[in-house]
Amino acid sequence: MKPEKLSDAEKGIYEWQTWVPDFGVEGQEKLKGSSVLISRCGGLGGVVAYELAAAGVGRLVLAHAGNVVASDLNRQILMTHAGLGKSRVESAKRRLGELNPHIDIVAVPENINETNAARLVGEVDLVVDCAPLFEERFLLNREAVRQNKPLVDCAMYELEAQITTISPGRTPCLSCLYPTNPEKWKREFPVFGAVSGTVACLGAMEAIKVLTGLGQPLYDFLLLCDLRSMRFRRVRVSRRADCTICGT
Amino acid sequence: MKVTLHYWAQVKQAAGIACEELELNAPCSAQELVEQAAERHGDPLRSFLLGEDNTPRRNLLLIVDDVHVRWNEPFPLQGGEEVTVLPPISGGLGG
Repeated sequence: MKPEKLSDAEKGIYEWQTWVPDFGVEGQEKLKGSSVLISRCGGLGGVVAYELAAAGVGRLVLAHAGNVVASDLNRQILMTHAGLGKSRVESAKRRLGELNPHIDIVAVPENINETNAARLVGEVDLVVDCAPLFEERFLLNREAVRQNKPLVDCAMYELEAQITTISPGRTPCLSCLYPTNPEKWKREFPVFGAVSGTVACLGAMEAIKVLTGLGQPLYDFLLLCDLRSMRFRRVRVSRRADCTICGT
Repeated sequence: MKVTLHYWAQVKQAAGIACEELELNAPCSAQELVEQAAERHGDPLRSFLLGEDNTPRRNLLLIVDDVHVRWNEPFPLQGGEEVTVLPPISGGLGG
Protein backbone atom coordinates (compact mmCIF):
# COMPACT_ATOMS: atom_id res chain seq x y z
CA MET A 1 0.00 0.00 0.00
CA LYS A 2 1.34 3.41 -1.00
CA PRO A 3 -0.45 6.53 0.29
CA GLU A 4 -1.92 8.74 -2.44
CA LYS A 5 -2.48 12.48 -2.24
CA LEU A 6 -6.08 13.67 -2.02
CA SER A 7 -7.71 15.97 -4.55
CA ASP A 8 -9.51 19.07 -3.26
CA ALA A 9 -12.84 17.33 -3.90
CA GLU A 10 -11.74 14.33 -1.84
CA LYS A 11 -10.54 16.54 1.00
CA GLY A 12 -14.06 17.93 1.16
CA ILE A 13 -15.77 14.53 1.02
CA TYR A 14 -13.70 12.97 3.80
CA GLU A 15 -13.31 16.07 5.94
CA TRP A 16 -15.26 14.79 8.96
CA GLN A 17 -13.31 11.55 9.27
CA THR A 18 -9.98 13.31 8.87
CA TRP A 19 -10.85 15.04 12.15
CA VAL A 20 -10.54 11.66 13.92
CA PRO A 21 -7.47 11.73 16.21
CA ASP A 22 -4.62 9.50 15.00
CA PHE A 23 -6.20 9.31 11.52
CA GLY A 24 -6.16 12.72 9.82
CA VAL A 25 -5.34 13.46 6.20
CA GLU A 26 -2.44 11.01 6.45
CA GLY A 27 -4.85 8.16 7.28
CA GLN A 28 -7.11 9.20 4.42
CA GLU A 29 -4.21 9.10 1.99
CA LYS A 30 -3.42 5.58 3.17
CA LEU A 31 -7.03 4.54 2.51
CA LYS A 32 -6.91 6.06 -0.96
CA GLY A 33 -3.79 4.04 -1.71
CA SER A 34 -5.30 0.81 -0.36
CA SER A 35 -7.11 -2.08 -1.96
CA VAL A 36 -9.52 -4.59 -0.38
CA LEU A 37 -10.96 -7.87 -1.62
CA ILE A 38 -14.47 -8.59 -0.34
CA SER A 39 -15.59 -12.17 -0.76
CA ARG A 40 -19.33 -11.96 -1.56
CA CYS A 41 -21.26 -8.70 -1.45
CA GLY A 42 -24.54 -9.82 0.11
CA GLY A 43 -25.86 -9.09 3.59
CA LEU A 44 -22.40 -8.94 5.11
CA GLY A 45 -20.07 -8.09 2.28
CA GLY A 46 -22.42 -5.55 0.73
CA VAL A 47 -22.37 -3.45 3.87
CA VAL A 48 -18.61 -3.87 4.26
CA ALA A 49 -18.24 -2.65 0.67
CA TYR A 50 -20.64 0.24 1.26
CA GLU A 51 -18.75 1.49 4.31
CA LEU A 52 -15.33 1.07 2.73
CA ALA A 53 -16.49 2.85 -0.41
CA ALA A 54 -17.92 5.69 1.66
CA ALA A 55 -14.68 5.87 3.66
CA GLY A 56 -12.64 6.21 0.49
CA VAL A 57 -10.69 2.96 0.16
CA GLY A 58 -9.11 3.47 -3.25
CA ARG A 59 -9.83 0.09 -4.82
CA LEU A 60 -12.48 -2.48 -3.95
CA VAL A 61 -12.52 -5.92 -5.54
CA LEU A 62 -15.91 -7.61 -5.15
CA ALA A 63 -16.16 -11.35 -5.82
CA HIS A 64 -19.66 -12.79 -6.01
CA ALA A 65 -21.36 -15.05 -8.54
CA GLY A 66 -25.07 -15.27 -9.27
CA ASN A 67 -28.10 -13.06 -9.72
CA VAL A 68 -30.30 -11.20 -7.27
CA VAL A 69 -33.25 -13.19 -5.86
CA ALA A 70 -36.15 -11.94 -3.77
CA SER A 71 -34.91 -13.47 -0.51
CA ASP A 72 -31.70 -11.39 -0.78
CA LEU A 73 -33.59 -8.15 -0.31
CA ASN A 74 -34.12 -8.26 3.47
CA ARG A 75 -30.38 -7.68 4.07
CA GLN A 76 -28.43 -7.15 0.85
CA ILE A 77 -28.65 -3.39 0.69
CA LEU A 78 -26.67 -3.07 -2.54
CA MET A 79 -29.39 -5.07 -4.33
CA THR A 80 -32.70 -3.62 -5.48
CA HIS A 81 -36.10 -4.88 -6.62
CA ALA A 82 -35.30 -3.52 -10.07
CA GLY A 83 -32.20 -5.71 -10.08
CA LEU A 84 -34.02 -9.00 -9.50
CA GLY A 85 -32.66 -11.63 -11.86
CA LYS A 86 -29.60 -9.54 -12.70
CA SER A 87 -25.98 -9.90 -11.62
CA ARG A 88 -25.40 -9.26 -7.92
CA VAL A 89 -21.90 -7.96 -8.37
CA GLU A 90 -22.86 -5.58 -11.18
CA SER A 91 -25.70 -4.23 -9.04
CA ALA A 92 -23.22 -3.73 -6.21
CA LYS A 93 -20.73 -1.99 -8.47
CA ARG A 94 -23.39 0.37 -9.81
CA ARG A 95 -24.65 1.32 -6.36
CA LEU A 96 -21.16 1.83 -4.96
CA GLY A 97 -20.22 3.94 -7.95
CA GLU A 98 -23.19 6.20 -7.24
CA LEU A 99 -22.07 6.49 -3.63
CA ASN A 100 -18.44 7.25 -4.41
CA PRO A 101 -17.33 7.89 -7.99
CA HIS A 102 -13.78 8.67 -6.81
CA ILE A 103 -12.81 5.05 -6.15
CA ASP A 104 -12.08 2.06 -8.37
CA ILE A 105 -14.55 -0.82 -8.07
CA VAL A 106 -13.73 -4.15 -9.69
CA ALA A 107 -16.66 -6.54 -10.12
CA VAL A 108 -15.69 -10.20 -10.34
CA PRO A 109 -18.76 -12.35 -11.15
CA GLU A 110 -17.24 -15.40 -9.48
CA ASN A 111 -17.10 -16.79 -6.00
CA ILE A 112 -13.70 -17.52 -4.51
CA ASN A 113 -12.39 -20.84 -5.80
CA GLU A 114 -9.16 -22.72 -6.30
CA THR A 115 -8.66 -21.09 -9.70
CA ASN A 116 -9.02 -17.44 -8.71
CA ALA A 117 -8.14 -17.27 -4.99
CA ALA A 118 -4.38 -16.74 -5.25
CA ARG A 119 -4.72 -14.09 -7.96
CA LEU A 120 -7.50 -12.13 -6.25
CA VAL A 121 -5.81 -12.16 -2.85
CA GLY A 122 -2.56 -11.17 -4.55
CA GLU A 123 -4.19 -8.05 -6.04
CA VAL A 124 -5.07 -6.43 -2.71
CA ASP A 125 -3.70 -5.23 0.62
CA LEU A 126 -6.41 -6.79 2.79
CA VAL A 127 -9.20 -9.37 2.54
CA VAL A 128 -12.64 -9.29 4.15
CA ASP A 129 -14.22 -12.73 4.32
CA CYS A 130 -18.03 -12.70 4.18
CA ALA A 131 -18.56 -15.98 2.31
CA PRO A 132 -21.31 -18.46 3.19
CA LEU A 133 -19.37 -21.64 2.48
CA PHE A 134 -16.52 -22.82 4.61
CA GLU A 135 -14.70 -24.12 1.52
CA GLU A 136 -14.43 -20.50 0.38
CA ARG A 137 -13.49 -19.29 3.84
CA PHE A 138 -10.72 -21.82 4.26
CA LEU A 139 -9.43 -21.08 0.79
CA LEU A 140 -9.25 -17.35 1.49
CA ASN A 141 -7.61 -18.05 4.84
CA ARG A 142 -5.02 -20.28 3.21
CA GLU A 143 -4.17 -17.71 0.56
CA ALA A 144 -4.13 -14.80 3.02
CA VAL A 145 -1.69 -16.69 5.25
CA ARG A 146 0.44 -17.81 2.32
CA GLN A 147 0.65 -14.27 0.93
CA ASN A 148 0.91 -12.62 4.35
CA LYS A 149 -2.23 -10.51 3.83
CA PRO A 150 -4.41 -9.45 6.78
CA LEU A 151 -7.89 -10.94 6.76
CA VAL A 152 -11.03 -9.77 8.56
CA ASP A 153 -13.41 -12.67 9.17
CA CYS A 154 -17.08 -11.78 9.72
CA ALA A 155 -19.99 -14.15 10.39
CA MET A 156 -23.54 -14.14 11.75
CA TYR A 157 -26.42 -16.37 12.73
CA GLU A 158 -29.89 -15.28 13.84
CA LEU A 159 -29.21 -12.42 16.29
CA GLU A 160 -25.61 -13.42 16.89
CA ALA A 161 -22.44 -12.38 15.14
CA GLN A 162 -18.71 -12.87 15.45
CA ILE A 163 -15.64 -11.23 14.03
CA THR A 164 -11.89 -11.55 14.29
CA THR A 165 -8.94 -10.04 12.46
CA ILE A 166 -6.15 -12.30 11.30
CA SER A 167 -2.57 -11.14 10.94
CA PRO A 168 -0.72 -14.10 9.38
CA GLY A 169 2.08 -15.47 11.51
CA ARG A 170 1.04 -13.33 14.45
CA THR A 171 -2.54 -14.26 15.32
CA PRO A 172 -4.58 -17.46 15.05
CA CYS A 173 -5.86 -18.08 11.54
CA LEU A 174 -9.30 -19.46 10.68
CA SER A 175 -7.96 -23.02 10.65
CA CYS A 176 -6.53 -22.56 14.15
CA LEU A 177 -10.09 -21.93 15.33
CA TYR A 178 -11.83 -24.49 13.11
CA PRO A 179 -9.38 -27.24 12.08
CA THR A 180 -11.69 -28.90 9.54
CA ASN A 181 -14.72 -28.15 7.44
CA PRO A 182 -17.78 -28.07 9.73
CA GLU A 183 -20.09 -31.00 8.99
CA LYS A 184 -23.18 -29.44 10.55
CA TRP A 185 -23.26 -25.98 8.98
CA LYS A 186 -26.41 -25.06 7.09
CA ARG A 187 -25.92 -22.28 4.58
CA GLU A 188 -29.47 -20.97 4.95
CA PHE A 189 -30.42 -19.72 8.38
CA PRO A 190 -32.45 -17.10 10.22
CA VAL A 191 -31.01 -13.59 10.15
CA PHE A 192 -32.00 -9.94 10.08
CA GLY A 193 -30.26 -7.48 7.80
CA ALA A 194 -29.52 -5.37 10.86
CA VAL A 195 -27.47 -8.25 12.29
CA SER A 196 -25.38 -8.80 9.17
CA GLY A 197 -25.11 -5.03 8.86
CA THR A 198 -23.86 -4.68 12.43
CA VAL A 199 -21.02 -7.15 12.04
CA ALA A 200 -20.29 -5.78 8.57
CA CYS A 201 -19.78 -2.28 9.99
CA LEU A 202 -17.47 -3.74 12.61
CA GLY A 203 -15.60 -5.53 9.83
CA ALA A 204 -15.27 -2.33 7.80
CA MET A 205 -13.91 -0.54 10.84
CA GLU A 206 -11.40 -3.32 11.38
CA ALA A 207 -10.26 -3.00 7.77
CA ILE A 208 -9.84 0.77 8.12
CA LYS A 209 -7.84 0.29 11.32
CA VAL A 210 -5.51 -2.33 9.84
CA LEU A 211 -4.94 -0.33 6.64
CA THR A 212 -4.13 2.90 8.45
CA GLY A 213 -2.65 1.77 11.78
CA LEU A 214 -5.52 3.31 13.73
CA GLY A 215 -6.44 1.85 17.14
CA GLN A 216 -6.15 -1.83 18.09
CA PRO A 217 -7.62 -4.37 15.67
CA LEU A 218 -9.14 -7.61 16.98
CA TYR A 219 -5.81 -9.40 16.83
CA ASP A 220 -5.93 -12.53 19.05
CA PHE A 221 -9.54 -11.81 19.96
CA LEU A 222 -12.84 -13.12 18.68
CA LEU A 223 -15.63 -10.64 19.32
CA LEU A 224 -18.94 -12.35 20.07
CA CYS A 225 -22.03 -10.19 19.67
CA ASP A 226 -25.41 -11.27 21.02
CA LEU A 227 -27.85 -8.69 19.70
CA ARG A 228 -30.74 -10.33 21.55
CA SER A 229 -29.22 -9.36 24.90
CA MET A 230 -26.84 -6.70 23.54
CA ARG A 231 -23.99 -8.51 25.25
CA PHE A 232 -20.64 -8.19 23.49
CA ARG A 233 -17.70 -10.36 24.60
CA ARG A 234 -14.06 -10.32 23.54
CA VAL A 235 -12.73 -13.88 23.72
CA ARG A 236 -8.98 -14.39 23.70
CA VAL A 237 -8.02 -16.95 21.05
CA SER A 238 -4.64 -18.51 20.41
CA ARG A 239 -2.68 -20.15 17.61
CA ARG A 240 -2.43 -23.92 17.26
CA ALA A 241 1.11 -25.13 16.87
CA ASP A 242 -0.17 -28.01 14.75
CA CYS A 243 -2.33 -25.84 12.48
CA THR A 244 -1.98 -27.16 8.95
CA ILE A 245 -2.12 -23.62 7.53
CA CYS A 246 -0.11 -21.39 9.83
CA GLY A 247 1.39 -23.77 12.41
CA THR A 248 5.07 -23.85 13.09
CA MET B 1 -20.68 -25.40 42.88
CA LYS B 2 -22.55 -23.94 39.97
CA VAL B 3 -21.48 -23.15 36.42
CA THR B 4 -23.40 -21.74 33.48
CA LEU B 5 -23.32 -23.45 30.10
CA HIS B 6 -24.13 -21.21 27.14
CA TYR B 7 -25.08 -22.46 23.69
CA TRP B 8 -24.63 -20.34 20.56
CA ALA B 9 -26.09 -20.27 17.08
CA GLN B 10 -27.04 -23.70 15.68
CA VAL B 11 -26.00 -25.40 18.92
CA LYS B 12 -28.51 -23.20 20.72
CA GLN B 13 -31.15 -24.16 18.21
CA ALA B 14 -30.39 -27.85 18.75
CA ALA B 15 -30.44 -27.46 22.53
CA GLY B 16 -33.68 -25.50 22.49
CA ILE B 17 -32.25 -23.18 25.17
CA ALA B 18 -29.64 -20.44 25.21
CA CYS B 19 -28.08 -21.41 28.52
CA GLU B 20 -28.49 -23.51 31.64
CA GLU B 21 -27.14 -23.30 35.15
CA LEU B 22 -25.68 -26.58 36.32
CA GLU B 23 -24.81 -27.83 39.79
CA LEU B 24 -21.59 -29.84 39.86
CA ASN B 25 -21.41 -32.46 42.59
CA ALA B 26 -18.00 -33.78 41.59
CA PRO B 27 -14.82 -32.37 40.03
CA CYS B 28 -15.46 -31.74 36.38
CA SER B 29 -13.62 -30.25 33.45
CA ALA B 30 -15.21 -27.91 30.93
CA GLN B 31 -14.83 -30.65 28.33
CA GLU B 32 -16.64 -33.18 30.55
CA LEU B 33 -19.38 -30.65 31.21
CA VAL B 34 -20.11 -30.48 27.49
CA GLU B 35 -20.05 -34.26 27.09
CA GLN B 36 -22.46 -34.63 30.00
CA ALA B 37 -24.78 -32.03 28.46
CA ALA B 38 -24.77 -33.94 25.19
CA GLU B 39 -25.77 -37.18 26.91
CA ARG B 40 -28.37 -35.50 29.09
CA HIS B 41 -30.09 -33.70 26.22
CA GLY B 42 -29.75 -36.46 23.62
CA ASP B 43 -30.38 -35.67 19.98
CA PRO B 44 -30.39 -33.30 18.18
CA LEU B 45 -27.95 -31.58 20.57
CA ARG B 46 -25.90 -34.72 21.10
CA SER B 47 -25.07 -35.11 17.42
CA PHE B 48 -24.14 -31.43 17.21
CA LEU B 49 -21.72 -31.71 20.11
CA LEU B 50 -20.28 -35.18 19.68
CA GLY B 51 -18.81 -36.89 16.66
CA GLU B 52 -19.13 -40.53 15.70
CA ASP B 53 -16.35 -41.37 18.17
CA ASN B 54 -18.47 -39.87 20.99
CA THR B 55 -15.95 -37.12 21.66
CA PRO B 56 -16.64 -33.39 21.19
CA ARG B 57 -16.37 -32.17 17.62
CA ARG B 58 -13.12 -30.27 17.14
CA ASN B 59 -14.89 -27.67 15.04
CA LEU B 60 -16.75 -26.34 18.04
CA LEU B 61 -15.14 -23.56 20.00
CA LEU B 62 -15.01 -24.14 23.74
CA ILE B 63 -14.80 -20.95 25.75
CA VAL B 64 -14.44 -20.64 29.51
CA ASP B 65 -15.29 -17.14 30.65
CA ASP B 66 -13.51 -15.12 27.95
CA VAL B 67 -10.74 -17.53 26.99
CA HIS B 68 -10.66 -20.13 24.20
CA VAL B 69 -9.88 -23.61 25.60
CA ARG B 70 -8.58 -26.59 23.59
CA TRP B 71 -10.64 -29.76 23.59
CA ASN B 72 -7.55 -31.85 24.28
CA GLU B 73 -6.45 -29.79 27.29
CA PRO B 74 -8.83 -30.52 30.22
CA PHE B 75 -9.87 -27.32 31.96
CA PRO B 76 -10.89 -28.00 35.59
CA LEU B 77 -13.90 -25.98 36.68
CA GLN B 78 -13.79 -24.22 40.05
CA GLY B 79 -17.38 -22.97 40.12
CA GLY B 80 -18.83 -19.74 38.89
CA GLU B 81 -17.48 -20.06 35.36
CA GLU B 82 -19.36 -19.35 32.17
CA VAL B 83 -18.72 -22.12 29.66
CA THR B 84 -19.72 -21.42 26.05
CA VAL B 85 -19.98 -23.78 23.10
CA LEU B 86 -19.81 -21.98 19.78
CA PRO B 87 -20.18 -23.64 16.37
CA PRO B 88 -18.53 -22.18 13.27
CA ILE B 89 -20.82 -19.68 11.57
CA SER B 90 -20.42 -17.90 8.27
CA GLY B 91 -21.91 -15.28 5.99
CA GLY B 92 -25.15 -16.83 4.86
CA LEU B 93 -26.29 -17.85 1.42
CA GLY B 94 -25.82 -14.46 -0.16
CA GLY B 95 -22.66 -13.63 1.78
